[in-house]
Order: sequence, then C-alpha cells, then structure tokens
Amino acid sequence: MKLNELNITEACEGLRKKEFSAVELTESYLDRINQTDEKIKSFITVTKDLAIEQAEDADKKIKSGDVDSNPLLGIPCSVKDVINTKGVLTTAASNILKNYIPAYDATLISRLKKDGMVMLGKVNCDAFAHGASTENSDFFTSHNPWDLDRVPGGSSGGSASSVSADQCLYSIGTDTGGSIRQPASFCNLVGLKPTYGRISRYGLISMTSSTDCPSIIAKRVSDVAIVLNKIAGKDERDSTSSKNKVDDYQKFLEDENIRGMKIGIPQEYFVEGLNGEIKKAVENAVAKIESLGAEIVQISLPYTKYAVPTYYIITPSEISSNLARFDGIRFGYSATNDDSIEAKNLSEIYCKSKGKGFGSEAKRRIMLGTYALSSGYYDAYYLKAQKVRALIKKDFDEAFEKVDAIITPTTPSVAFKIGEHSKSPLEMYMEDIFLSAVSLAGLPCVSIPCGFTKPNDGKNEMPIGMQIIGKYFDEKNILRLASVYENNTDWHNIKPGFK
Amino acid sequence: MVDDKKISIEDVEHIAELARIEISKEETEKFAGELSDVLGYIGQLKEADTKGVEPVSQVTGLVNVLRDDIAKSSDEDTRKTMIDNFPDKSDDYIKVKQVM
Repeated sequence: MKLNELNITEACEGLRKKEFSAVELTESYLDRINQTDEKIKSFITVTKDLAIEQAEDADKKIKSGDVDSNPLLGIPCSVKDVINTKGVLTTAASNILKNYIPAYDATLISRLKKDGMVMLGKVNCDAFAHGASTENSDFFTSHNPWDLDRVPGGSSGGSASSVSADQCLYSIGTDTGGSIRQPASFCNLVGLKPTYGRISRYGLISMTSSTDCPSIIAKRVSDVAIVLNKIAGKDERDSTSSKNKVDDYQKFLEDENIRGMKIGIPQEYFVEGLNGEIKKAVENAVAKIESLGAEIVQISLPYTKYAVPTYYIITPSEISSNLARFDGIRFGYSATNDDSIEAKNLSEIYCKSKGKGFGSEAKRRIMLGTYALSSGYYDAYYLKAQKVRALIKKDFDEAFEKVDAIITPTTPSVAFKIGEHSKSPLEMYMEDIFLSAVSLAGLPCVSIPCGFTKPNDGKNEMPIGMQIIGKYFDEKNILRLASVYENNTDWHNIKPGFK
Repeated sequence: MVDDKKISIEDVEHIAELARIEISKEETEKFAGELSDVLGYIGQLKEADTKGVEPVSQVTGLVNVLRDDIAKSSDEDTRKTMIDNFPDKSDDYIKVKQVM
C-alpha cells in the first residue's frame, strides 16, 4: 500500500485499524515533499516539526480510542499561505509579508486543530491570491504535475499541485473568483467553493471581502465533504458567516438516487472560445448524468457576459481598501527598517513601504481600485458594477426556480504553459470567464474531473473539469451529484505521469 | 458610464498619490497602458441596462449583524507575537515618524 496515494476515508480507516500510525503517514508525506518539491514547488514553508508533533498527538488519541466522529484526526494537509496560522510564517506569497508571523489562527484552522489536523506546511499561490497561475507569487511559480511546463492554475495553485503530486491528502485554499475551481480543473482534482459565508473568513488575508470564500481541494468528492463538515458554520468573529444549519455532507452522499433532479445547462457557457474537446467532454458528462436519471433543462444566464468586467471593478475596489493596511506601521515589510531607503515622514513610510513591498499585480489592482472608487468615477464604475452584480444574481435566482443544479465547463481551455499569459493582465483575467459570475452571486459550486485532452502545443494529456453550481447553502446536493458522477466514472482515478 | 478613456501619465501619478504608493517611472508608463486596456474592457458594462436596479453587495440576505461590544483580553503569547511584528517600537508601543 502506498500511503501517499490514499484518500481521506482510506487513510482514516488505516489509522483506526492500526495498519499504520499517524506519524508513519505524516513521515511518508514529508518524504514525498522532500523528494518532489524541487520540481513541483508547492511549498513556501514546510512545518515538519509541527506536523510530527500533531501526528504524535493523533496517535495518542487513536491509541486511547478517543476518535469519535473525527475523520480528520492525523490526516496530513497543506494550507494556502493567505490563511493565518498562529506562530507559523504566513506570507500571502508576497514580499511585503515575507517575515510575518501571525498572532492567531484563522477560525477554520482552530476548528481543524481541534479535530486533530496534521499541517505539513504552507503552500504557494499568486501573491495575495491575485492571479490564476501562481506566476504572480513574489517567490516562485508552482508546476503542474500533469506537465511540469504548465501552471497548476491559481491562485490556489500550490494547494492543487500539493494534492495532485501526492504531497498531502487535502488542502485548504480560497476562492474569490475561481481560485480553487480552476486549479482543481487543471490538476484533475475536486475543488469546492462553498456558499459565501458558509465557512468563516476570520483569519484570511482579505482580498475581496464580498466574494472571498475559504475553499477545499482534494482527490475525492467524499474527502471534500468530510472537510466541509468540520469547518462550515457560524463564527462570531465573522459577521458575514451564516447561521444556517450545517448539513452532514458526508452522510448525504449515501443517497445515490438522482432520478428527477433537474440540471440546467446555460447556453452562454458553451460558446465560441471554449475548446472543442472540453465542450465535448462536458456534454458527455451531462449525457452520463442524464442516463443516471437526472433531467436536463436548457437555460439562459444572459448577464454572464458582464461577469468578468463587473468582477474586475468590484475586486480591485475592495482590494484597494483591504491592502491599505499594509502600510509599514504595524507588521510586514517597512521602509522604517530598510537602510537602503530614506523616508522623512509618516507619509513617505506609507508610500515607500508599499512601493517596495508590493509586486506588480497587487499594485495594478490597488491602482485600478483606487481609480474606480475615486471622486467623480464612483457612480460610473463601482456603483454600476454593484447594479450589474444584482442582475447577475437575479439570473441565477430565476434559473434556480426551474432547476436544482447548473453544469458548465470550469475553464475554456486546459492548463496553459508557464509564461503564456503572464505578459497580459487582461488575458489572465479572462481565465475567470466561467467562474466569476458564480462568485459575484455567492453561490456554492464544485469542479470535478470529467475528461482529458492533449493540447496542440503539449506532449501530455491534460485534465478537464466541469463546474456544478447549486442553490444557496445547498452544498449537499451539488456534492451528491458530483459523487454520483464520480462513482460512475474513472477520471478521478487517473494519476499524473509525474513520479 | 464614462467614455472609454485613456489613462495618462498624470492620471497614474494622481492615483498613486491617492493610494499612498510609490511607483517608479517605468511602472507609471506601464500602468498607464495596462490600466487603459483594462478600463477599455470594463467599459462594456455601460451597455448593460441598470435603470431602476438596486445595487447589491451582500448576496446571502444578511442585514445589520450586531453583537455586544465586549472587550476580550488575549494571552501574553498573542500579545508578544503582535508586538514582535511591529517594525519600530518604543517599549510596547508602535513608533512612527513625524506626520508632517
């Protein structure tokens, strides 16, 4: 048995049956990171000592039999570096936070710790989660295990590459406009962005507060359900987190009957620009789901075409406000301590700390947002975007009066080559074309594997993902549909050639 | 919606000043072009008819989530980590340069 190739359910069972210990399991992942990360480059920080310590604690609990309803006990994971971890370097993959040690844990981390998590380390992403490839990381670019010349997607690219390369069992990332779904699709994984407010944002390094969602990426739908069970729910420290009842997502997967479930197929997501092989793969997947008893309904989401421009007004606007806190006064890089910089007064400390600390994309978004919110332009940009956002939400509200779930491709093309889009910010923004409308509406969605295609400029078959969108707080049914599809197909079992 | 507008070097300098961020001459030129491109693309929103539409920023229906304003103390370890993060300090206080 290869410990690195297990899913959460299998690993949990192995631990309970004492086939291996949590320390052995953890060591096998640490070895794997050691052997592979020079090529994959998932990790910014490997927390080896902490992981072993947490695994030893887990072994003690398992030995004493204190393991009830605790499937994540002793299960090794990675965490995106925009999530605060007490006492552990948290950089947001940015130079400005290169030495930042948080004084507190994000709520989702405290919850996972309570359940006996083993954290192997903090993984790479685009700096402050601004990007779709990890190429905007201030440190390095992560690689896609399916083809090392290609990106793993982003911004949660290190989360995806670490799970895909068997360096951990699951990863916690974030999804603001597609940042967990697109990497999941690029790396043949399951990526869930829950409803806005389903998982507390307390302790995230904020990007776009009105769409930021902690998100989960793993190898199986059931793995994602297990993790969601543990981290979903109201948090007093995040006033936008929801009081709605948290379902037992794992239990819900047991019901495999999708007969009569109505699935909407929005015509606007099957348009020019969508790769033909991806279109075919998603259509085949839809046919499969129909053959399993679901009813397929053609629908229209006409405001989809405005989603990316709306997103790229709202996002930079909120970023320009959220990133204003990195001003060199309370934490992070400061011109105060930089001998190469002369600053006479407070204002110069602000300007020079940000000027040197932020990378290009963060600066670009701060500038764009500052402009969109500035006097004389607010109505034309931000207010207009918030109105179009209302129309995008209305599109979905109306569609969900007729259907139970909506299926689309996750991305218009497979993982692109490193450097292919990095010259043009606008090209990179287009990566979000099928993803940002859902984020603006705040709906739950999951990307799951549904096929492969060999790109013209590539040597390897690359994974294709499809996106299942659900009603507000109806994670249970999209996960159930995803699980039924997974149980009836083999895509998720195919592994990258990378050894 | 405003007309498609080219962002000038002066505009970029003005925005940078508003954002309190220092950018180099090369960055200023680069951003003028890139921001013009992005704003040109965003400009397509003006064709969307939003007459009578109420803007939305909160999508899950929450209104005025309130709690009692009660201070909670944190442990010494938390306090110390926060203070250790200060770029410049005098005892346990953040030290800043003169304002003017």
